[in-house]
Amino acid sequence: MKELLQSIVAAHPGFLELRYHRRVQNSFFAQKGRVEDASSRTRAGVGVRALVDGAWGFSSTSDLSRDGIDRAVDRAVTAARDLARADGRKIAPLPPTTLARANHVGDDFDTLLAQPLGDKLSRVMDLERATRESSSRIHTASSMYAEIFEEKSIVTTDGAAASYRIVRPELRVAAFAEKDGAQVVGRNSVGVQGGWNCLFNHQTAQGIAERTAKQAVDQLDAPHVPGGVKTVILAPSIVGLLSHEAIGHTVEADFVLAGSVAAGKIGRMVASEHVTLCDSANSEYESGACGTLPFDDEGVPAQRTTIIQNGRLVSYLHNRETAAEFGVAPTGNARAWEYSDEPLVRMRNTYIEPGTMSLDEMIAGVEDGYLLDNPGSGQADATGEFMFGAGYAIEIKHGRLGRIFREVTISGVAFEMLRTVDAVSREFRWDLGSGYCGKWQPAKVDAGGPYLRCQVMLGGRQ
Amino acid sequence: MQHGTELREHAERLLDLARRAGADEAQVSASHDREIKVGFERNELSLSASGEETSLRLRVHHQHRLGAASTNSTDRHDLERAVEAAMAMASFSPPDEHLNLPFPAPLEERPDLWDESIVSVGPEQLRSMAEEFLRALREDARVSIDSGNVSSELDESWLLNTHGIAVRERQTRLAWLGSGQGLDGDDITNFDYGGGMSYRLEGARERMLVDGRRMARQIAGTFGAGTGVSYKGCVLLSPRALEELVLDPLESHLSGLQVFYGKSNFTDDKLGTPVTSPLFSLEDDPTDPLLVGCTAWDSEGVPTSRRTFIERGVLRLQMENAYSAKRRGRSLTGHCGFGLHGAKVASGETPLADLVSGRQPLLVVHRFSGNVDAQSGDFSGVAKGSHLHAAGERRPISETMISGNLFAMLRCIEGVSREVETVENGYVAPWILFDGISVTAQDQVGRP
Repeated sequence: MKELLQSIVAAHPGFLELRYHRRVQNSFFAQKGRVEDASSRTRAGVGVRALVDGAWGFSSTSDLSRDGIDRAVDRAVTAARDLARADGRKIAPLPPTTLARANHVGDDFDTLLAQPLGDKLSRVMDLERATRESSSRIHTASSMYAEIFEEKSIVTTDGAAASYRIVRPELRVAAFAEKDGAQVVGRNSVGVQGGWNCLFNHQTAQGIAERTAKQAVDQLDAPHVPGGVKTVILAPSIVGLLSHEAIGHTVEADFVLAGSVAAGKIGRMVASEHVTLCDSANSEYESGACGTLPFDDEGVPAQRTTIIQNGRLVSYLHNRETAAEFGVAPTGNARAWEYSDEPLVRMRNTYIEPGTMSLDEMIAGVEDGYLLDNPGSGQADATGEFMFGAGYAIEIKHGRLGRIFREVTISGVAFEMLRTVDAVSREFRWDLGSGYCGKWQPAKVDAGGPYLRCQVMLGGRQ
Repeated sequence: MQHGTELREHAERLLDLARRAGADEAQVSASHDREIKVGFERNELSLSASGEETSLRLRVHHQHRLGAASTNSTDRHDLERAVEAAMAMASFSPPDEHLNLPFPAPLEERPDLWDESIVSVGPEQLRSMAEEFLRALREDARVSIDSGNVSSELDESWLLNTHGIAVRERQTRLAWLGSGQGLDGDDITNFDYGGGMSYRLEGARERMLVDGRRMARQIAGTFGAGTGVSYKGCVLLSPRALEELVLDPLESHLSGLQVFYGKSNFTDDKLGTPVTSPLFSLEDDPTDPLLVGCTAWDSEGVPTSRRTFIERGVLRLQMENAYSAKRRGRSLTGHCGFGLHGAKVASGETPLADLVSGRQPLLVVHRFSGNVDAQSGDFSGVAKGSHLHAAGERRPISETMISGNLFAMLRCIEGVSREVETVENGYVAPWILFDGISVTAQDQVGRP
């Protein structure tokens, strides 16, 4: 396919970007001993972007013949030409930059493809059963497995000619318990880039089952957290969510240009000096981070971008267009979810660098607070005001862990909250690989970090 | 746009291949979509785009085992591969004797949702509409639009199964969407978003502009947001805030399948008994051409119709699909995906102004951004774009969280507004005043 795309761009007079994308997603969902979903979805096509007279045109086609792609090119060029007639901002030609020309096959792509689907479904059903049987108080359990095989080729008129194949499996488990008519649920999920065994790098399947069931049972009698500002220790999963939602979105250059709170703050202290925050297309510190990519959807090679260096804001996240506007090099953050989506500025693997303390030392330093883990969903504003859920909270009193509390949502203003960080652990973990970022279109991302001690507002009960 | 008969032929071909491969029962959903859109970014037009796709989804039952596959290719070889994949999936699945596909049943008439004048809307006309929408969104120059678009969409779909169901639906839509925030020096408001759609071109422009101006006013009304106050008591939820906080989790508990799994609070023994305050009523209306869920059949080809689920607080019905209906000995309701097609929360007797007056402090929540545990009903999150009525004044607030339990809250309704709003053409709801909600602000605890 790459060769066909190259032959098409070779004859094109202006800037053209062709992106072939084939995605195969196999999914299983089992609940209470029953299979609710066993499906295979294949979607393939070519997305075309043309830059004509300072305007973007985009079109997509699932017709993979030369004629079909040629027609899509014509539509994109016509659309761009039409838009160029409108008043408003004209995009300057994209400056030359180093573009990928390699072919990459991700670890375990072929191995996972060769592993029989029946074997995977059987393991998913075993996991559901093990979760259900972990406690007599669990009345229902569910488990879901999905594997996304991605094949992409990017070819542009200014030199990109690269392709990759990667696979991302993910697993979700839930346990449901009930007491006196009140229902509770425990949830766990893991997502990686790699093979089946990578899903169990940190916990065995049995361990996941037991942990999920325990979370549900513990919540049956757990009280609610009182509302207010508290000292908390955020687990790596929550630190990842914070890095992504509260900081990462505000430094996406398209949001910056639209007026996010990060605008104009390059070079300024925005966090405590304990905080160094990055977004990387590589899997730093440990392998398997889900947002790992050899190059982005404009063909810009993989790289790590330091966003905050010891508390100081040093970079935004860019595609080629915004990088040109800011007069910096692109950071490789242009991503599109499906062939029919146009690339947007998106994150990859977002994290805070580990520090030097141990988790135990951090807990010992808390007089009255909580350890928060198991992230729920999250959102953040351009103001940096964020909220996200923690599946449970463990009380910390006089430097010791205590009672378990129910799910809680935390909120704050990112740059204010980061100034309260006073301790960062040396332990590090990617822990958001089963997550999807939503910004008009989904994106598979990862996030993580060390344990982080700071102050946030808990949305608890009065 | 493909001709409907061509799409049906693709679907029949796939169904036939599934039969030949040994499927005992099979269902094919085929759709053909075309979209043209003009997008804007940072207050200016930024992109003109188009796309077209045919998709085919196959579900098979083989020896009471379930398998499914889909493809966006109509090539015979790819259809054969889809059948192989679905049959392979079925071969791995454990048997379940309650799997079944429905038989044909008469469909109710629905308004014609196809408008040839939308079919002929081209990029140039869309560009002009996008410019108008952007101007409406920026009625107040302090409102900065991060991104959005105006699009014309054509969808045609067929659903066929081996029991003889063969139903077709087609829709045209003109849709608009925008997101942004207010910027006035260092004063940045909460992010907000909004949109809408129309199946007909006539009147669409006017509605688009109304939506744009409403969003602009909503954003501009939250400049100067200050700290709120912490209290436990009444909170007024806007129609918009009800979606995530009330309607989405309620759908889960109204599912017959969730009842079967023991995951619903609305168990069978609660049918005919009060589950909420008598001020609350909820129906599903798949007949309303103002709502995106207007449809004559669900994704198993089962007829849809208007149905009341909660009537003045009393649970009347649960949603069923072919599987849950057979498993539980119930009738089909046309809710294959266990979601309401067009949720309508009944209006009340009280003017909105009366709900607000005389109660202080009162938080009026425009949008809820938070977490709702659909299982327990526990929720906590941030009140976005919201206002506080306290000490005789109304003022915008930020960094204020609300927390409570959905099921407790539904029994503590103090009032329902006479006025209703259609939210992004998805559902219709009034403002509802709930008691017993915890509000946490930065007031007493100080900034972190």
